[in-house]
Amino acid sequence: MKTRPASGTTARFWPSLLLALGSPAAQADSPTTTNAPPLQTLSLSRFVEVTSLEALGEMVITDAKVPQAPDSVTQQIAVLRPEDLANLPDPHGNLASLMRYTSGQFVNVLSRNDANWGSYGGLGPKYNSYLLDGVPIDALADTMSLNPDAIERVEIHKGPASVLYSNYLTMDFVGNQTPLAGTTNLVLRQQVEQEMTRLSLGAGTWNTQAGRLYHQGRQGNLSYRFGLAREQSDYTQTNYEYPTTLNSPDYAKTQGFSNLHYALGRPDHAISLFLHHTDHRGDQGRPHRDYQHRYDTVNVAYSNQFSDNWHVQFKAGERRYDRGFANDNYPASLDLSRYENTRQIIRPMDLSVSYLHGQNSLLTFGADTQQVHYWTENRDASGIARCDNDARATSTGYFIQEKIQWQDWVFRIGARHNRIQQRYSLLGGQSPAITGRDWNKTLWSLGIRYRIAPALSLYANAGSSFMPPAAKQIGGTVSSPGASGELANPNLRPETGMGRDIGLDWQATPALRLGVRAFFNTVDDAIVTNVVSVVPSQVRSENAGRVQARGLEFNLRHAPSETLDLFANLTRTDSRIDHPGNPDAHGSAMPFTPDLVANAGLTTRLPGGLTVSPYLQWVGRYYDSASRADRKSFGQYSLLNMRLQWPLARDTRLFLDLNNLTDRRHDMPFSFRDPGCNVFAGVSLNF
Amino acid sequence: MRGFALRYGFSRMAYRLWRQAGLFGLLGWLLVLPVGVPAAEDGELENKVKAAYLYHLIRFVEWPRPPQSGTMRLCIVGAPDMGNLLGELSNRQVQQDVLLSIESGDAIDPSRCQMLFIGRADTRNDWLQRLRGKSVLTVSDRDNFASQGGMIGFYRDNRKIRLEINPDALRTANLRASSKLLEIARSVATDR
Repeated sequence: MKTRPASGTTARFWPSLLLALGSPAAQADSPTTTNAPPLQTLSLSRFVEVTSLEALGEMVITDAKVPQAPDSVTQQIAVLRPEDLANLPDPHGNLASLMRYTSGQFVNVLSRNDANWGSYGGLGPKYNSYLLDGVPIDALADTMSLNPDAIERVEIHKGPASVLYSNYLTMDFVGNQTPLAGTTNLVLRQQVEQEMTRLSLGAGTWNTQAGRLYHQGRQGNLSYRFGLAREQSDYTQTNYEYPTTLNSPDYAKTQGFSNLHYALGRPDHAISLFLHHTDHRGDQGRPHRDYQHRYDTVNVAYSNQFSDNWHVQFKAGERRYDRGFANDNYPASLDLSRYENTRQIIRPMDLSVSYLHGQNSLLTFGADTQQVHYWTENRDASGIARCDNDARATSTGYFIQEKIQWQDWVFRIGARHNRIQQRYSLLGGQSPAITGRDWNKTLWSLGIRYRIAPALSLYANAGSSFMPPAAKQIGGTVSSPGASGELANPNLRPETGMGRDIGLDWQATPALRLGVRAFFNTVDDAIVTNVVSVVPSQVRSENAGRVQARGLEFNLRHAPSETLDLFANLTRTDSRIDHPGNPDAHGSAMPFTPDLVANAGLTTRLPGGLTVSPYLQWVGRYYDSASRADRKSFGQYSLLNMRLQWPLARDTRLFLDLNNLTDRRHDMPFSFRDPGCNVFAGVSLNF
Repeated sequence: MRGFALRYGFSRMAYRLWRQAGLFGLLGWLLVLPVGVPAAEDGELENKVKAAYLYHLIRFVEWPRPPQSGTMRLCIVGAPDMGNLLGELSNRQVQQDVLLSIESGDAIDPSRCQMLFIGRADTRNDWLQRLRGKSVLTVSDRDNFASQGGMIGFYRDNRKIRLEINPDALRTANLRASSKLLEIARSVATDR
């Protein structure tokens, strides 16, 4: 029987709820750049972003009769615009943490130097895919490594999205990622209208020093952007189980990117190239507990609105991940025992065609593919290297979606056929008995929206998903009995899922927007990663039967005046694992999913130009494992963060980030602990 | 669904055929779906284009000083549809530390605005008189607005909306248009 939260939880929660009511500028918006529909169908908000003064003068305004968005999509889409991102306290450029105040998700940043964790739609971290301009990236690693200066805005699509968007076959971390609960698109900045250079410098707690340089310019049809960033710190990543650091840990992260956009005669006929590199190295406070991670991200895109009705886009990318960790024999000795490397090369491609037909109908079809190579290597103290895992995967998908708008109704239906192949050369250091697996799966998605009144609409969506296990989950990464990592489970089966949601959007007044959304997500043969041991840190993935997650989200945004902007949201989730064959897990809650998350915040501009943006978050109870005998309970804390900004002059701004103001040193899974209150201050100059 | 079919005695082959028929039926429906849906009213795209012009113009005009409250006020009179549409851009950042504020209605005090759009539905003729000497950018889609002393006007050019600009009117109001705006817009002078 699932345990209910103690009554004390509710008592601690209500004061926070009373204080709370805004997710940063979440506004439903119309079709986004992921499937790049024709300009005429976009909301005004998107329309101004993709047009320019010149382009407007060339736009034919008759014979294109389309209704106004956001009523033209069936899903709920929350958009974080540049001004919203600018008010969020996040000195370390972790893009995932910028979404932590959005309803329906729980973003758990374990530390500055580790992957993000969390849950979406009542399910674990792998059930929300991430995209970079419509091309898949890793949900746990890339959001930590990408430079925020490259990002124009963030679009959070809620609800099942497995037809238009593929899985991401990362083969590592918590396994492959699927857009069952939704997908988040990080939209790159493209066309430049004004030349600008920005320099930001700052310093903070734990001897943190950071600097960012950004430049954008334009030469005729070519827009270009460049960025460099460097951050270093003695950040303390504590382990609450037992002391593991002897010296002060430190890290340094260096990022560089370039983005080129060339308009081929028209704004809606363009090619672009994005290149990004991150080098992240440091140590965890012992001589042989250092690490070095290198990430390379490439995006290439071609987009052409070649007639009033037809639009085609081709996108491709390459993602290279190289993560290395040194290990010692602590506490027995501090000598180097081994160096572990995990490497992935992932090449996604997507070809999409949109056809605007009839009056308001949009047909989208296309194909996508991913080529993946995943391998891990162990080097012992004498320098002898051994490959432990070597696997490849290929995914090919064909998709089609039709969207019809008729009077106050929007109908959406789509299907996808996926073919996934995995080939294992090595698993756990051995040649496996099973050298490969193939899967064919057809997925579907439906949606409907009805405009009850000009400012009130009802929507509902449903869709299916499919995800095979990752090579890491099958073969494991533990090379010796006492090593940390994932234990092997060669009997893992793929999982299938279904997502459903229904909701109401209401623009009550020009300054007040309300929303409520209910979701119900299920996963059969759910692959759940459980903590098996803390010392050494070991996990194992298992098929945990059927998982059901029900939830309710409430959203509010209120801007009563020019100087005040409020938001609030609340997500209540009830998850349950049905596994009669395993009494220990049967009836347990889904790991890493809090039963309650509430957010609230505001931005206010005071006389003199000071802008104050406090954010309050309450996190309810969650567990680190499906096993009731072994799981640990976390959560039940509130966090208060704040950003203050002063414009010193027209192009100069001071900012101060105050994080964890109440100094809550709450424990997190995998022996992480929030290190408490910290501060970061800086100056930003435009010239 | 597969379990349902097998449990109730369907053969595996029949189930396979049913599944394939369902997929083809879906694709067939998509291809022959009726496309004769009613049209939205004319003018929605025109309003959208004009609204986008107003938004973009902010970046290509220089005011003598930045707005004191950190808010750029775009006021709309005589165009309620435009006001409703532009409400979507409220609180949007338009310059460094400057957010956009939209005010729409008949009782607006134009001297509090940085930008005033005068729609055709407004029949008052004294706006330019009231704003003489004030640094308020006046824009309108009235015929010949710029040549009658307004600063920027919209005009139709073969199914497209274009800009015409009165540089003298801007200069008198102590506003400066960027070279890019002067390049795109057609320049006119005030009729004598």
